[in-house]
Amino acid sequence: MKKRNLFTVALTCVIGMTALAACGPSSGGSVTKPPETDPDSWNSLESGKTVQITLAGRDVDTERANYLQFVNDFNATHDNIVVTLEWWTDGTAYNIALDGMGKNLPDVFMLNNIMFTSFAASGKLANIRPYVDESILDDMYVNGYEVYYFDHETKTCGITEDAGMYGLPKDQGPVALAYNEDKLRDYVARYNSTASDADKIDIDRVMSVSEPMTFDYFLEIGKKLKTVLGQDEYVCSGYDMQSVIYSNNANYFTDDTARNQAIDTENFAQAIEFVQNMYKEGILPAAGTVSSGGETVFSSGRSLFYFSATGPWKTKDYWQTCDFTWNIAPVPVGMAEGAVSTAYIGGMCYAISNNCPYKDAALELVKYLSTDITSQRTQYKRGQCIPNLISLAQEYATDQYDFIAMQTGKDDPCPTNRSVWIDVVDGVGGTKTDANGNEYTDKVTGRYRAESFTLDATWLNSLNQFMGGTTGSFGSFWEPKADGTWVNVREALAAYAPELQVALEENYDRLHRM
Amino acid sequence: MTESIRTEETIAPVPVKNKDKKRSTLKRRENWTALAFISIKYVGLIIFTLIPVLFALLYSFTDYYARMETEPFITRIDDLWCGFDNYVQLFTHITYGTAFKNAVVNNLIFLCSVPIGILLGLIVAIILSHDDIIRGSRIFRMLIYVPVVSSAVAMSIIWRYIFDNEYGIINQLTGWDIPWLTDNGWIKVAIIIKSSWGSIGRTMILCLAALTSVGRDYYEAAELDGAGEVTKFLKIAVPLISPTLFYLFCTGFIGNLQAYTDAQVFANGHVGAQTIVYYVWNYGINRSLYGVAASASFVLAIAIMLITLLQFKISDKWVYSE
Repeated sequence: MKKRNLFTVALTCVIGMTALAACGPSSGGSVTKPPETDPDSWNSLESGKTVQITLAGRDVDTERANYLQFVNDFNATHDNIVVTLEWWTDGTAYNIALDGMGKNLPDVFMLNNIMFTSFAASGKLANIRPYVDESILDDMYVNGYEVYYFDHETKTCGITEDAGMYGLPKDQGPVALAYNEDKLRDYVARYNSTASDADKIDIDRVMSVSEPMTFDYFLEIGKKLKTVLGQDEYVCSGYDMQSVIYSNNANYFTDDTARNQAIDTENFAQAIEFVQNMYKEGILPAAGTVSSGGETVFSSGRSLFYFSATGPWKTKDYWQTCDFTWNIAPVPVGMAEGAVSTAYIGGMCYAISNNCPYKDAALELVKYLSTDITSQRTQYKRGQCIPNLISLAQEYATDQYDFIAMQTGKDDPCPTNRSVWIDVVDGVGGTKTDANGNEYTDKVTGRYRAESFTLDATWLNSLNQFMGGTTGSFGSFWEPKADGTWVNVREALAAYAPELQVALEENYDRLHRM
Repeated sequence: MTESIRTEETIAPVPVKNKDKKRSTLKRRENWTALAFISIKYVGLIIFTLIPVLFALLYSFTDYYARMETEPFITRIDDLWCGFDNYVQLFTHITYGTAFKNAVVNNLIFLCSVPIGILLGLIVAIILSHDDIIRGSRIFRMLIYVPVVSSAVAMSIIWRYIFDNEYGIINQLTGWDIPWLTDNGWIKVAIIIKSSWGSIGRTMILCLAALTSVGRDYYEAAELDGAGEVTKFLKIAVPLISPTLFYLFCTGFIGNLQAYTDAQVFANGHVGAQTIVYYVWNYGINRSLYGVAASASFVLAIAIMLITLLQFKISDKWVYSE
């Protein structure tokens, strides 16, 4: 009897384990090679039958409303494809859901840059390179799509002969320095009214779209404007660390393989010191004083500047929440040699599951959302993104009317300097040729977020925690120590560099052993 | 007599062998029926507890990065097997290790809220046990117990409003400028206050029950010997309710070591508030590093067992048993 009971328990265990194992991701080809794909799945529309595909995405409700409209527009113009939208309002929950799906992903889904490498390397995404015409790409910014190529041999993102293309840009996510134009004009005038001529702030220089402010100039005007601020007001309520680092010709790694750290360089230290100086001078709110977040402070009109995640996707929300005129300028540039104003770019792409049985239909949807001129026009008018198409850039930059969902009571939809976002995506940070064939120096450009080059962002979170003083023995870079002194940035970064090096190598090894 | 003999003759006795067989069949049928009823529970236990625990144990010995896996875990065990590496890395790795050590330290600090909560709950129970002093004590009991049956997430959100650096009730009323939710140290203080408050209701109701069960005759005897209120409480009440206090300490420590909502909802993932269970969620679910997360959960399970064993060992010295 005992033996029989034991057998029953063992049998139940085996059945249970098998059942659970079967619940996991279905088996597929080797992940060390480019993914194999079912050729028939690229011809599903030829039968003439109507196919149903799913589009999965995430973000706030205003974005969901936009995508419902885009999907309806697509369904109305495509007789044989029916798209259903699956939406997550919580980005973390969405990413976790994608992680847990294994290969059984939605037919088309939004995928952020940080997860792109791991998904592409593991063969979960369909290679669309053979099906995307060069003519389409000719009308797109290289900066906007090059990161969605992935070479399975070298395990790196970027355009190479052997690389597959695993996504088209949802948005190109350029960020910029946002400012409250009403308040800035008012406060500059207030300051200038009592300042000597030599001390006056040049408002045109602050708001210039072609000549970015330098770190030093930004600090200088910050100190001046601080003297005329009202209660609970700040000069700048947030900053984007990566844009600061990039704009001083520095980076976290020595090259795009992201294998060797570069945080112990002079340029990197100077960039971090700039941020530290903003805290020292009270230009940024003291650590911990703004619990509602820098963006809320800006959108409620309590700060003059905000350069964090102020990308085009914010416009639809700012139209609703900001009761003032706001605008954008290039992010400040550092003093290092070769430094160019460089904001981070990239955000999300539309990817197709390699398991999708209707890849041709899925690609139709992706092309519609990412490259169709009508769709792109609707998207920018809804404050969703800047156009992915070069041919729409001029129209976008100068469009004076007919913005859907625009804030009421304004003559021109903010930001009027929206060409800055185009400049960031279109920038090369060097010599460029204009439409007339004249060469000029490009002073504004963009670069992908650092996490886009690594398998995950653990290393970056650890570095940020170290600089924030929650780990390590140096304390926070952003507030004075008990004795009133501040952390020596160079010493601290040099001390942390070996740890970051190990983390990056581990990240690299994990990617390359797949 | 004759009749009886006749009866014996007419009604033939059932052969012993057949009777046993019938009984055994019936018993077997009963056994199967009973097994069928209780199997529902056991199947649930096996599928939802034992097998996941077994899988977690296997994960903890592998370098399984779910985000990049496309094949079933079972088929990848050989390739991914890394022995005790994950357990070693929990304490030595520059990123996972540092974060884990931070979570352990946070967890140990948050344990302070257990004795504080029990002490406060006990004081409230003593006050409310005097019906003659406190009018409407039943309403107070109910009000104090409400947090125990309230949603942990809802409570965390409310406490976030209370502790908010800019607009929080505490800073607004006192005029303080304490960065409760953003400072590494102050957020711990906030969580200890919140957790202590959260355990008052449960402690109060159990201590109240224990206190009322202490016989009046003990107190009367002590009064005859000239004992004061404090002496009566320390020498009579505390020893007699010590089994309840022991239960509260044990379950309090276990619950506190498994804390998650405070780190996730109340502190919004702030490093100063991250606990081991938050670490398991962050590295396992959020970052797909199942191996690291599974090993952390086993370390936590072992730590809980050891701490509970230690409590039982120490209990001999202070818990009263008849």
